[in-house]
Amino acid sequence: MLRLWIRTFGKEFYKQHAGLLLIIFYALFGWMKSGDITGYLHAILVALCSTPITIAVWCLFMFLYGIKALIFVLQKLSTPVYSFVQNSCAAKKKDQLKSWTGLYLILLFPALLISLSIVVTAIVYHHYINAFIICIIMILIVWGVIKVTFRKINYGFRPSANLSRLKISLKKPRWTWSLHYMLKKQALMLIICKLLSFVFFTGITLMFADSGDDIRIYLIALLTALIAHSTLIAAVWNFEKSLLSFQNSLPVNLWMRLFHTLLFLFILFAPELLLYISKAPLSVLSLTGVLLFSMSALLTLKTALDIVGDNMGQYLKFIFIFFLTVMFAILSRQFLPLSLLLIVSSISYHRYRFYKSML
Amino acid sequence: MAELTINKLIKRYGGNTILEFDEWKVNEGCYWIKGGNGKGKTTLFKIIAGQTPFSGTVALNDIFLHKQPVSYRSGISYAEAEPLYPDFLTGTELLDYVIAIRKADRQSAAEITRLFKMDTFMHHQTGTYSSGMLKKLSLILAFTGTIQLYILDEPFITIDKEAATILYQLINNQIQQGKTILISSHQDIDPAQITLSGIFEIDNQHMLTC
Repeated sequence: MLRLWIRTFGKEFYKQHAGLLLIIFYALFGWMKSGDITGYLHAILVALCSTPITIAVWCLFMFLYGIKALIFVLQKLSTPVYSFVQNSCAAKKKDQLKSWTGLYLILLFPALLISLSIVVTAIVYHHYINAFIICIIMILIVWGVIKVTFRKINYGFRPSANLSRLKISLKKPRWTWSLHYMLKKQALMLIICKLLSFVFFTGITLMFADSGDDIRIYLIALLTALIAHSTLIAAVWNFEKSLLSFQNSLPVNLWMRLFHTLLFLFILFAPELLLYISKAPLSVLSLTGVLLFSMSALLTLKTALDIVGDNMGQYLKFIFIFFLTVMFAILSRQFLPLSLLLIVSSISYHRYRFYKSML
Repeated sequence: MAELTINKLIKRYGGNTILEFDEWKVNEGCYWIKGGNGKGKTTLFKIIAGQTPFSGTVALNDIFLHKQPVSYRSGISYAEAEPLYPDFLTGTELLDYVIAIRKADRQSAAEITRLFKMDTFMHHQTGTYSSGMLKKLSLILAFTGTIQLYILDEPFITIDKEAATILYQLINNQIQQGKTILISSHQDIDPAQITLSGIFEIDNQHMLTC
């Protein structure tokens, strides 16, 4: 059973989340010189294990990661493709628990590996209580997700309590569909993405606080926030490809399609734009430029997915090259011509796909 | 009267050629497209529906898909074999969207919904629908608006006998109005229910007349 779970849930989980994990990895270590990584890693581990606040932050992260993995498995279980998993009910409880434990240890591996490193560091530095707390939290999270999955599969026939008694039904016009999907199906990814985006933006502006009001600092901060959205954009792209394909045979013109896409991207990135407005020196011209820069970058990320499909490896390579190119353009004060080039190229490519039925 | 013309069609997936034929033309009436699994029926329907890239030309009443995609699509409707919709949307929200896009008559859409006995479920989210209800919803959406060419991929699977009878009625109404209907079906189509204008079979990448 475990082998089957790994080949289905495990493979799919890492395929979907490779982007997010690598972006976190790049954000943490990408800017370090190779010789400094060991010392840097050591400093992070010591910082994480030494105060109650950092431990609470790490436990919250583990909890979010655990919930993310659980939601992923439960969502898959609710799809017809994964209905075969129900057959596992016929196996002994012990065997079922063993296979789900194996799967969750693999899904949670990155968080568990770091947690174990924190525990070892805490023991070395005599923070025994902190090490104990992290161990307990780790066990509780793993046990919790296994238990919920086991109950879902074996006792799914029991009616669940209806917590949402107050239902507000709002009309959902077409332009809101991707937003609804994001809020209902990718809420956790949205939270993680926004947290990362906020941390990147604030981190970079603080790091270069002594450089005065150089707009390039804010643009680089905005660029990192944009990159933090790449995984979420990939998830929404997948949703549109699989569940909105029915609209491809409807007479919706190119400009309406682009309008829906840009409106969604604008709403998605609006909090970061507000953050930018609150921190950077403002003028109407600079604001227009920043808006163009943000929309062109987000549309380019979406266009890249149209080109590479669901090949996450290729998408990540694209993000890396894109990041370097835009960074260079910002540093050489050429971000406006580049933004124009990106948005014109993306729209041209969308037009080409539209006329070639490559929707 | 509707006329669908396909010329020099080539469709490949990777290096594998699925469809390759020089010319295929159908006029008004109902046509049954046969072919075993994997022969390319759904691919052909997706090509005609403008959902997948291909080489060649597809035109409806001399409106070419590649040149005037919006005009072309306003003349066709496509009901997929296994329709999928976002589970948080209700049937009504999807129907409203199609009515707005096709500038369709709301009353006739409501009438089709009532015929399929879906009116009481339209305010429910599609995530709560059975496969038969999803199929009925896709047929309601397909028959909404003024259409010249209906592309119905396996329309009789998963729906009950009563709904199949309604579907036969709708198809016959459209035939009488001079519309073109393409149906793919593994089940035999009852000649007492629909008068077929032609039967074709996809074999070895070609379209053959039966």
